[in-house]
Amino acid sequence: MDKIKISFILNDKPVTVETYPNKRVVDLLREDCECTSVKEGCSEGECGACTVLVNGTPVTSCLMLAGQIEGDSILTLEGLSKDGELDKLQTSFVEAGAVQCGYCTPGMVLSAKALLMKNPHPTHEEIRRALSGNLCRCTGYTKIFKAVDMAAGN
Amino acid sequence: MALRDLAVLGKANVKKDAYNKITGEAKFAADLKFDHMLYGGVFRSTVPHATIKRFDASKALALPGVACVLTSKDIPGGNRIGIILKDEPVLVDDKIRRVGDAIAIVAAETQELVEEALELMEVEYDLLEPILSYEDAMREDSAKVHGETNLHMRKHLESGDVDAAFAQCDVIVEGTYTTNMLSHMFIEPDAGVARIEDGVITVYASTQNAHFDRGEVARTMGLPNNKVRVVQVTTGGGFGGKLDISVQCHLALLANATGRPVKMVRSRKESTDVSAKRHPMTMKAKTGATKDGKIQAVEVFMTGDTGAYASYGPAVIVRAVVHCMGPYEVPNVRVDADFVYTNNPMCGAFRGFGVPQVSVCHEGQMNALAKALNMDPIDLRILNAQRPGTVLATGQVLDEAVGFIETLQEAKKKAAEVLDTCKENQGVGVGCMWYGVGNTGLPNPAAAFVEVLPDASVNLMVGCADIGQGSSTVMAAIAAEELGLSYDDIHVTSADTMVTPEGGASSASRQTFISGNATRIACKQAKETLAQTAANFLNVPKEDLIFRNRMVYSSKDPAIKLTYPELMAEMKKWGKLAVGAGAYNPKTTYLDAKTMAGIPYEIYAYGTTIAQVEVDTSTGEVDVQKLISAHDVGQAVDREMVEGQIEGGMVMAQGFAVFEKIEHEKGKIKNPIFSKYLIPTAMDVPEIYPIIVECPGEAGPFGAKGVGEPALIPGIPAITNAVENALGQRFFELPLMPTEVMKKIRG
Amino acid sequence: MIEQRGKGYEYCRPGSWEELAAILCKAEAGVMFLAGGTDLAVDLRTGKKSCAHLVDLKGLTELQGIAETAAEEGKKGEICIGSLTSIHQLEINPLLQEKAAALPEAACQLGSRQVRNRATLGGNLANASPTADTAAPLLVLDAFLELWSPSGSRHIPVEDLWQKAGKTFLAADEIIRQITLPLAPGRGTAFMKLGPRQAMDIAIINAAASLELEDGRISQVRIALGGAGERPLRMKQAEAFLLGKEATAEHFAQAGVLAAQESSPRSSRRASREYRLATIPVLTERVLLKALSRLS
Repeated sequence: MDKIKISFILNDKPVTVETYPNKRVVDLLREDCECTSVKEGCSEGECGACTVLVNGTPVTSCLMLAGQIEGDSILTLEGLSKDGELDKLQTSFVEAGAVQCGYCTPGMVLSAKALLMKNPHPTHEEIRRALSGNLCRCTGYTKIFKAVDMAAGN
Repeated sequence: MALRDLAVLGKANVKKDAYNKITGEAKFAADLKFDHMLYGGVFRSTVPHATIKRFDASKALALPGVACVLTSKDIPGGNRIGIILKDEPVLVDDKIRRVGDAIAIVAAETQELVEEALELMEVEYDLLEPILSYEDAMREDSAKVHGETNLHMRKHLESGDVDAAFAQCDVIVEGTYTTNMLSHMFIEPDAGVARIEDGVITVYASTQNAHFDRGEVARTMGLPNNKVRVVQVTTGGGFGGKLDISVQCHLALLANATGRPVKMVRSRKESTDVSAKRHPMTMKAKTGATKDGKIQAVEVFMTGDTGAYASYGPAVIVRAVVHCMGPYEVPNVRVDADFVYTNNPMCGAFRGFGVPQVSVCHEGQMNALAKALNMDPIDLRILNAQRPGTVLATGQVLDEAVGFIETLQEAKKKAAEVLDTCKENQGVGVGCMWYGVGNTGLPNPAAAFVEVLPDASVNLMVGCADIGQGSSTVMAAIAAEELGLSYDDIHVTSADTMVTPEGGASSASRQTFISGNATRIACKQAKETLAQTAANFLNVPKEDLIFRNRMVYSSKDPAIKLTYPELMAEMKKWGKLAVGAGAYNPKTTYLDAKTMAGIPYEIYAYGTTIAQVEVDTSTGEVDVQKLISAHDVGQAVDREMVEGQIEGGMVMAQGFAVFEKIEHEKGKIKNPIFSKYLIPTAMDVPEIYPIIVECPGEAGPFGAKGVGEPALIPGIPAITNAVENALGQRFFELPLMPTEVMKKIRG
Repeated sequence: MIEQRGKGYEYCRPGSWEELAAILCKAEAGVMFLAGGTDLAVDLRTGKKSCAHLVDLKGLTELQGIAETAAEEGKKGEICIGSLTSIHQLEINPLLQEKAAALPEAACQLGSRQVRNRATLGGNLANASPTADTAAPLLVLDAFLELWSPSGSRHIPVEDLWQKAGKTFLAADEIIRQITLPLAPGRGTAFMKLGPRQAMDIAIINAAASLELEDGRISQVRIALGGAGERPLRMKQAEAFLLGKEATAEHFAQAGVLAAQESSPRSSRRASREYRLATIPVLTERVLLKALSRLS
């Protein structure tokens, strides 16, 4: 198989990567783009640790191939804080005590971000649904819900 | 309820690791990258019990980009590892004892090449009879997994006169309870990187015990301890599953053989297949009481399967035996326990070391007893509850720090406030637990180094691995409290064997207590010099000095004071350094070999959960709706983190009680991945009400105990008992899968 | 460092039907179509499936979208769904929510939010899982499929798609192009699923129903179950029993018993045959009641 050039927007910056089209997006981001906040936990789209936003919607990057993101806009946790200033969700996760081992955190924050971009004041049920594709084994989710509520100003 | 006036403890601080984790900057093992780094992989057995007839890696070695393939012959040092017993080969030599045993390891230029090389390796086995159950194992003529017997460990505890006591009892209840093999399912699969730096093998690993790893790597490599450095990198959860050696020894071998850095990242499947599991246990119990509800005797016989290797099995059996009567005063106790070796997956430590299993048994018995006596389940528990002065079955007499009854009362109070009146098919259940903090009847010390720097900031070095539970935050708070500084003044370096002293395992809920005490002792030592200098300067006796809120002042006259920066300037002037080294080993004794009498733990934590559930009697589905959980933590070091432990524990308890189970057949795990081994999602979480009870004793740092494992335990029996309450049926086997619940409902 | 090598298949992403046809004509064997990839990406990686050519269909943008064709003289209205429409799009589509509620109801319970964003309706159907969450709703909605291959297109009812678990009647070079739902204004439809977990769970059993009443009696009924056999199935005896009867809980319960009788579930790791047989009546009754509640 030949390598192809793939161009996309990564954290608001245009990038072009020469790679194999069947390389998984999680590998592309971690290995070729130094975005190691994108975690791999299961390789089958079940744990949500590798969640990134593609054109504003959350997807598990372990299920995507590089060829599938041509022209898309990708957001990883590295791109969430702007000019060193943390996103509201990030500060609320810290303040609410929603971070324990931290492995699910990047994906969790991005799923929450996608929710708040579409729905700035979600209900408790909407928060639970939006985060149900991100497994956390440490926190029991409760403080994560609280963090999202805090960020939403609920 | 805190008895002490504390400046730092008992509040909520920003976790030391929070900012790095929330920005994505925190580096986990899989995120590490070094120049010229190779990737490593393991060729594993696919059969449970066999000798190797032929192994051939020539095709793999011929693959361009493969750097080396190593087998047991290439191990420079010893080829046996294990936390308690050294019974597991780093690479198989004599025979295969489980599916997943490591036969060979490979290093190659890319992960893809590693996978390709593994596919090219060939093995032929001579199969041996697989031992797959307790009954198999105990048959006299069965094949032996290790040595001459499959009996891994047998324990007996006896106090009082059990037979005579049962003869006097008005009510006796019996039950046989079964719990299943479970998987930790930490979200980060095991990973690490090893490299050689200045003649030292450095292993960066996802681990719960860097210092243990160091010893294992050193022995495998035939090197002195100080030629091996293990650094615990940011670790994505453990729950006991990262106490055993995972990638560390293999990485060291590969880095040593190639002279290049090597990284290994396990797949989810590999991680689940070979990391230790929770011991499946069967517990047959008999409990006798007088007609007014006072328990007179408990008898338990339990069996457990530790699988192919001991791992933490010896700790699980001993702890299960000591805890199996529950947090109650029981004058006459007899416990027998047998753990066996089989060719099943290895079982070891998993949050609670056997206490979650026995809690299902003792709380099932309490539920049955309450029913038989027609007593309120909470009243029955309060009547029998351990309290200050209680004599345990081991002969130990409890001190003042026993907050069990308070947890029952607080949970009951909350239940009256938040639980609904039960409709049909709804039920409420109570579950309780006690948990001895630290290792059982064995020394388990930890140490800390501290230095107060010229600007009054502090370097604290502890061996204790922070795996996300927040131990570094706890140590910082304890140091700040003791030194009279603020939390933000303390920088913690943890679990790096070249920098920090031994901390022991982040397990057994022991670090707040043991590393916490070590930290406090180290700080006291540093404070001694500080106090002497301050006393000289202020011209007051040093015993009168109070260190608090970055000030040092006289307890007699607060106006006589100096600030910390002033004190540090004074220290500099006199050429004094504020350093301290502290070590703490809990005051326990070895347990008697025959009766298990002795002092197994210095302190105990207590907890009560009340659960409300609703059962769909047409489908057997159990909906866990509300969980109230009250925990005596002695002294909360950080309230928010204690709540976080309780909430996380409760959701794990829900998984344990309702749907988690490792299924294995012929020694092979059938559901090693998240799509098949279900853990609770955000949609499953019930309403959780954490309650912190504080009964501080003298033993812990500022009275603190531990909460990591206690947080899980009482939720499991509470949910089980709530389902019993909803359906009027007893359940003896977990998890309460819809299929099983339906069978019960339909008779 | 030696560069990572691609796994043994060629990836391509045609942007037009002509391009697709050209690729298919050239590639003789070993073609697999990539839609959302939420299952296939894993299967290709683990080696459970393999192919020589992976044809990514997402370049055919016209395969995405949901549109209504209004009723005309002598012709019912219909909703046409492009086969590469994401499950999430089904979930939030107001048209479907109003006129074919069972489908968005199933969509929102499929996998995780992340998976629903990638997974497609066509992919879910072509995967041929006996418990595919979108299958039962399409069966009760009388959906038919437009299939396309380089040699032409054809239409089949959705129930003719599946042979057995994991196997369809699609030809090797054939894809699902469009899913069409004929509209029936007086219809109430619903979907339910049974599984131990509240999210991201593969159903043990799932069920869909559609109901129409005339003068208080059932004039049209469809019941479909996933997990009741080797493929998603219509429960035709149960339907026949209900036709012409009053829509009562008692009749629904009896229909449920019939549905269990005409089911042949298997025992799997997830649930025993017995458990499935015991819960089929319950789920059937409940989904019928839910469909009924949507009628008024």
